[in-house]
Amino acid sequence: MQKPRILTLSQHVFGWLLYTYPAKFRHRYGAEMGLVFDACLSEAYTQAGLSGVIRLWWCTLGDFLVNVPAVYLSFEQEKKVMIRRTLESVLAVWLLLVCLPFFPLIAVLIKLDSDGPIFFCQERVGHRGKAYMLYKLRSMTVTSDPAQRQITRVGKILRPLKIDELPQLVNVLKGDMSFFGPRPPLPNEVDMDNPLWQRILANRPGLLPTIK
Amino acid sequence: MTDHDPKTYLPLKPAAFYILLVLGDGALHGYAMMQEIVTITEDKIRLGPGTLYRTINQLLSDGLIEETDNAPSTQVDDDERRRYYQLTELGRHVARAELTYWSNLIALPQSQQLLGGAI
Repeated sequence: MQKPRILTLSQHVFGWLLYTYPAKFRHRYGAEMGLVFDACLSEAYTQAGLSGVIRLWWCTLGDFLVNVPAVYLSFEQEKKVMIRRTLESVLAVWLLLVCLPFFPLIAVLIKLDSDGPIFFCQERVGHRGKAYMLYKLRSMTVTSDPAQRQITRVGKILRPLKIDELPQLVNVLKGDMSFFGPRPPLPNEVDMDNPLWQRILANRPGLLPTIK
Repeated sequence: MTDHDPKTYLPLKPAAFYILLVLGDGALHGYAMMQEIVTITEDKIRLGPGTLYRTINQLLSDGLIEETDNAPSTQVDDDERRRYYQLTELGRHVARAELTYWSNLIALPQSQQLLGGAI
């Protein structure tokens, strides 16, 4: 019997997805993971046909996109985080693709308007107190004295429109941030020994800050 | 390895606990672990390949499981790419400690109250 095309296609896609893992992990377990996926695939197909395959993909994608720090999570919570992260990653990729054509123009404008880099990177404190690099488009002048910094002309347009925040979609993809969550705090604001901060940073910081 | 206190590994992540549990009977390969877990949890827990092998990787580096060549001979469709894993001595102790922890919880008067003497 000839294998249905959806099965061969699924196996190929799974093979590509394996490249999202670090090379060492992939070399060690890739072949085995392929075997497991194949077995699940034929089981799902025999039992429920196409809908079985779709359901399997839904679970598998969640499994891939999320690197769940599951130490303290129950299975139910883990599943919720997975679904949320899956949806957020899809939305972030989509938004990035939509905005991509405009980035070169904005980048040129920032460069022409004032001296300095296009991106502004700053360390912020994220989920469970873990520091990460937050990316923005630069909207202020670069000076050695922070008090002297001024909003650039381009910045005056970008800031109210929140366009300077768009690179944070990369932070969402990396799993540093969510769409909704607490405002990402600076390291000197945070005291992880304080239960209030522990509670705030039990969530990933958000692109669109919610009120604490 | 064995001088590690099993208690320092507790509580185990659910995925890790189930894997240690199904290995209690002997060596298994990845897919067999997955199926065994589906069976014992009445289809409530299905580990995806990613979760499965991330956990296996973690358990290997913690020294709770190890790879083995003594595959059970009952497997007919054996693929040479398949690797079999079994519990180490430490893994056995850790699994026992986790089970003891749960059985202690079940023995609590509160639990017995909730169970209504069903056990």
